[in-house]
Amino acid sequence: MEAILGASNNIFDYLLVLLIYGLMFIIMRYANESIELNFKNSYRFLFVFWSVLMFIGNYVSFLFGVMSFLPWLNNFIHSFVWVGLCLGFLYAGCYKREWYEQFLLFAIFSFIVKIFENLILGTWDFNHYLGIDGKYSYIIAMSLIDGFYPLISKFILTLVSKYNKGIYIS
Amino acid sequence: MLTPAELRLRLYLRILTVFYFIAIFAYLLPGIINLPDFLKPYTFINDPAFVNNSFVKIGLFAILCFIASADVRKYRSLILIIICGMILGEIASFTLILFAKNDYSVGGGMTITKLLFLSIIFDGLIMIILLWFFVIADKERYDLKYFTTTEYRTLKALADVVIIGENSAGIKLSIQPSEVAYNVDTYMFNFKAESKWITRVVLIGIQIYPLLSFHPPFTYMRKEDRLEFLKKRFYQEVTFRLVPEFWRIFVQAMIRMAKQLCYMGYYNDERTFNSVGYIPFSKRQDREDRIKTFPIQERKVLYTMSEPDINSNKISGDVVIIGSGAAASVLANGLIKNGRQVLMIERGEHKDPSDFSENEIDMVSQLYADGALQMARDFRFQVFQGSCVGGSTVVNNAVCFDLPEEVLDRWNDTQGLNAGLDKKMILNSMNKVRDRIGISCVPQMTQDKFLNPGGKLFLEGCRNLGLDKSPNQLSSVCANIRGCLGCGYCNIGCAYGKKLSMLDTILPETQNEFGRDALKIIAGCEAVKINSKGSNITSVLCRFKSGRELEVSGKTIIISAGAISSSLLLIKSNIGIRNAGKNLSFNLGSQMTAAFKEEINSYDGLQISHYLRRFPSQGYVIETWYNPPMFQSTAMPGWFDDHYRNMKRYNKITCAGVLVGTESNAEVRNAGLTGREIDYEPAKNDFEKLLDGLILAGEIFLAAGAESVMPNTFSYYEFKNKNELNSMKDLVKDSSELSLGSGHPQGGNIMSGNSERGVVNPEFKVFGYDNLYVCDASVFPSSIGVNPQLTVMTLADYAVPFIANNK
Repeated sequence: MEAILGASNNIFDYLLVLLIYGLMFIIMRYANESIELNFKNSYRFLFVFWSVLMFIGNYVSFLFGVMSFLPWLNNFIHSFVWVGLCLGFLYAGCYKREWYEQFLLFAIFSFIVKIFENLILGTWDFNHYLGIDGKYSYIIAMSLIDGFYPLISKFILTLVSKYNKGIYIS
Repeated sequence: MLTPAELRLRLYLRILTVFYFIAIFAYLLPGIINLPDFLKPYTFINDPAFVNNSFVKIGLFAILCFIASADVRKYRSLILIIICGMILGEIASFTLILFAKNDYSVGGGMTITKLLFLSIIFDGLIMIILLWFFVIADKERYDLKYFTTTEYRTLKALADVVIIGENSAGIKLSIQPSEVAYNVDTYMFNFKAESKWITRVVLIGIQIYPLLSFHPPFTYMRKEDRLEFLKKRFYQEVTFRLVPEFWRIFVQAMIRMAKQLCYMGYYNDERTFNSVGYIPFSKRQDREDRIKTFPIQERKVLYTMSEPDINSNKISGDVVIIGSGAAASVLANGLIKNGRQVLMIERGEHKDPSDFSENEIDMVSQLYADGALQMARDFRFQVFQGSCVGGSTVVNNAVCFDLPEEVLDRWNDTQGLNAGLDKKMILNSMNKVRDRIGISCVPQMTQDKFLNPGGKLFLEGCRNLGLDKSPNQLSSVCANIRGCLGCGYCNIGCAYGKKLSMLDTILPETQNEFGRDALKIIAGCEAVKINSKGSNITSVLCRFKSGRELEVSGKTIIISAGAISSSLLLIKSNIGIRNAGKNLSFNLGSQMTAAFKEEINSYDGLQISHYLRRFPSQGYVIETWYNPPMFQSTAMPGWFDDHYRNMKRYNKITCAGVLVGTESNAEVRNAGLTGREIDYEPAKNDFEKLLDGLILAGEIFLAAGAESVMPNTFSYYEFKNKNELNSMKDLVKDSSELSLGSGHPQGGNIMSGNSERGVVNPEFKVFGYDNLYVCDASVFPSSIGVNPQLTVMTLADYAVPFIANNK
């Protein structure tokens, strides 16, 4: 059970995390209420792409020792709900902006969520990272990596749209 | 003579009377005599308190049933009291079951809870049967088609006090309140608008509104009290702002709609025409002479398809155009000339002009439908739009003004709206359209004597005030009308083919010239959602009135459904999510009504006949305007006897509308009760321009010899001279005081070279899509301040080359 929920976590902790995702989502919706029709297929594609990639990647990274272990339920909701649904939605609303704006936006949102997950679930906990002591070094590094979501997404979508007309990126 | 359902109700009441009388004695007997053995365990029926209460309750029911059964019509309210008593009994029993602290035994192994439960079932059964018989009896008695009995009775009670006139002095109204209510019931039944249910909500609201101040429901009040209540709660409290703003909006909306329903029911009835001095065109003496002057030409037939003609649930075309109005028709014609084929989808029905009648309600129902009930969110502002094949061109006044050059320059300002329109091409298109749609002025349009007679007084007033001097424009209008007979029915469709609407000209002519396969029109089918595969629009999901869906696909999709509907379609489809529906503007309008001593018969001529534009621009245009009685009654100033008195001098009254091109501060959303919420509050600047225009219109009529002038305000004002008129600025504090409307919504999907600002680019293509275009008044970057028909068609003609190449 510990591998699924994490040490001393219960289902209410996870509900609280989902509530945080929800609050973040509301903030995202202020800028962009819904997903443009032409981008819906792209959003669906990104959801599948990032959710699966993240879910597997988080575990593989743990095996390689570059990430701390994410309990399976945390890994699942973080990958599918946060990265898949929420960050995909954020990207749908900001993909036309300058790349550095997108980078900062994603890194900041990721940082906030990881801090909350750390506080509530005790995950994203690494005492030192890249030679820097303190748990924040790890969270900041992971958040900065998330900042590359838009750049990678754009590259992937551009590539896929050449073969699939339903995938759109302007 | 009672109906069978009423006889059944009477019989049931008689049965209940007998039953309750027997029950009375049944309750008393155990207390008087010894209980029989089988009842002995139930000691409660010996309890004096229980017996006493039950005796009173059942006794009352017995008496009420007895009296009500004598005459179920006369004592209808007694039956309602019985039903209410039964409902109260049920509520009390339920409450006790749920919350009673004591579930004592009443003997015989039965608890009080169980006893209450059994009584709920028994009494409930009696009540349901009574209610059922009562509702059916009511329905059968009134033979209503749309309203429920309560709504009908509310309407009748309203008409009884809203339309008050000389009947108090012994002279009867032309038709009685019950007939008014029946008329409205029939109108609403035939009315094709989906949002007509709002009228029912309003009537129920008025019925129960008095309860909030501990008055009986509206229909149960005495006539005098009802009138007093309306004056106090709906008129004075709103006028003097004695209630909070949100409540004022609600109350104002209720009474405005309720009043209009009463006026519809009364003034659309031809039995009232004599009383207001109105003669329908078909009965006017000079009708035949007029037709000899301008003979009626044979019309070209337009072929359309409706639901039964479409067998499949999928249909495809080359170019699909949503809408069939001004822009859609010009586009269709232009695209077909460029080798494309067009499939047109129109929400409204196809009404052949040969079926147009003089019945205002009938025509509004068929040609406007929901377009007549489009209200702003606060119900203070009405947006009229045609909803039929031919769109608003069938019901507008056909008045044509060129796109003002300064407006085009403002649109093209690269630092501002940045519409990117080619000025030379626009001017070319404008000239081309002018010829194509047959714009003409007096004497080709009509003879001077067939213009609205009130317009001549307007001219006289302007001349007396020196407003006819250059550079002001004071003239009769030019319109796409040829040989007008002056019947005055422009807004309910020209039955004589004189208004060159799209239904009469471009659509049938295009079919005639290029064949029916080149231009197919599906009527009565609403586009509800657009589907895409990435940036390529794959299909449009449409729905017939029956609910059947039709998937329409095409190489190129054009939305030309008008500013409101086009914006909503994009919003519902998640297209242009940042900007669609925003930057909406109007030609905001309100009227100034003028009463003269002598008969004018303003109805007997072209509805909008003359206009005044002042230069340098004051931000408004004044146009003369008059309507047949029903339409005019809804815009006639005054309440109660003031309104009635004004309608009595209908043929001595004329009217002018002031149009102000507003700021783009409105928005349409897929929200609210009807799914088409217009959020609009006139900007201060626009309101002040409108007020200035109304005051000037009043001055003009006073200068022409009017006895008095009246703005269309919620409070009633009648100004007899210029000094009084000038006080209007102090009296009308804000726009909520004025009745506002517009037939010219513009913007919503504005055109701009900047995708952050606009929905369509300068080639009318929606940003982010390869084959989706919008072309109608919704692409106007701002309001143009004059009647927009010619500009809409000009832009459509201008758009043709851009769209024709999209394959």
